[in-house]
Amino acid sequence: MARAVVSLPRLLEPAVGAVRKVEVEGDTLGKAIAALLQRHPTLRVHLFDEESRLRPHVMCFVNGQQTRLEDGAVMLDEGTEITFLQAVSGG
Amino acid sequence: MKTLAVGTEKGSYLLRHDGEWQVSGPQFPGWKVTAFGRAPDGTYLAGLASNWFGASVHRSPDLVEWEQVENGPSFPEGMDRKLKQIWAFSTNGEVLYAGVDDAGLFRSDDNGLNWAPVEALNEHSSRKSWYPGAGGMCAHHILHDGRRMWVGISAVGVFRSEDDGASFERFDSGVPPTVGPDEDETTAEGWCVHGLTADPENPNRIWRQDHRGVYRTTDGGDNWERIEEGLPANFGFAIGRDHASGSLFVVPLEADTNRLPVNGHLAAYRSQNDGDAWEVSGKGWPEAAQFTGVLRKSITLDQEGGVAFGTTGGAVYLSEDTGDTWTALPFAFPRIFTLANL
Repeated sequence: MARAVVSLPRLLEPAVGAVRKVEVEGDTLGKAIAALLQRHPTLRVHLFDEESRLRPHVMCFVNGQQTRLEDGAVMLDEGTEITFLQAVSGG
Repeated sequence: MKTLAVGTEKGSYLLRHDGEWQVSGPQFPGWKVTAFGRAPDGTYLAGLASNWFGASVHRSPDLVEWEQVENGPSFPEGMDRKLKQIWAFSTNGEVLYAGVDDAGLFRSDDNGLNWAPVEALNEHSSRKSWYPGAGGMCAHHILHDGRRMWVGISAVGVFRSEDDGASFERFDSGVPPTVGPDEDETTAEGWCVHGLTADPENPNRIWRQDHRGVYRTTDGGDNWERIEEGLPANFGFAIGRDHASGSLFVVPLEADTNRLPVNGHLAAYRSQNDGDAWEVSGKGWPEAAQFTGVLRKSITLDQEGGVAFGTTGGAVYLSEDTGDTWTALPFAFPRIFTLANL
């Protein structure tokens, strides 16, 4: 079972406290995200909308590559880095 | 007033009075804090919203340590409704209610840990014709009297339940609709109620600040009458009542097209005769023009003579003598969504 490290933005502190990194197990991206939400169920409403889609202004990167998490079957390597960020826009 | 919670566009702040007013915060930095309340067991509640993340309910035993509720108000997956904002908390006995945007009512029987939709309102037969106001389509005021309940929804109207939320009917007779039917009548008439307050000694007496006027009812909403004598404008959001004296307070704004005090003259208006007539509430108002608004949840009364409201410009105005004298507190906050006496 591959292990991935999920990084969370500080802005999500009201949901998860001081947690910034979460180590999860999952051979696929979908399983890793499911493990994250099982560990921290309060994240679900902030990361995903009522259709279980990544919220429009939430960004997700897997090893630096942006993804909208539409393909949960993507296989993960040991040590994969998954990063969630809030989008930055405007000036 | 001993503790005022200030919910703003960027976090919340606590104002405590101990000889002089002290401010602490922000809590929830970067988050919109849109509602405060207390659960039946006294637990503090806060509603959060965000430009990026979802809306959520948070609980605290002491206003210091907060924990997000796991099973907060939410619409079923697959429904086109979105939970955008928590607008109001209220309690009726051991039951806690939350009003939200998209317009909906939720109840909790365990002090806010778990929430369930109030289907009779959320799935009301008229829902397909509900229409949002500029502030969204939100259930923002909830009143109780035993098994009776009133819910104000913008821009839809005032709904009343006689059976503890098992069924609801809309009661807006006497108030002209704000939203008219569209050409193909897919949009029915809508009433843009902005605020509600009631007399706890006689809950049939309710006052409402609407988009197009100020009204009262003495029969629980069956009939409403306009009460605007002395007001510089009939538009506004905030309305509140000091129950001991019966004094009513509103903060008039010019119009929906210009949601600012008329000519910059910011002041609460008070009625001491149940709304028959209004006048500027006491003294202490700024002489310089104040081009700022006051939102619907930004007024609070402690029922011991304290009245306070916050502005979109981040100021808090306070009276400790039921509106005879007013003071602007020496703090500037982000846009104030809600003010609560906790």
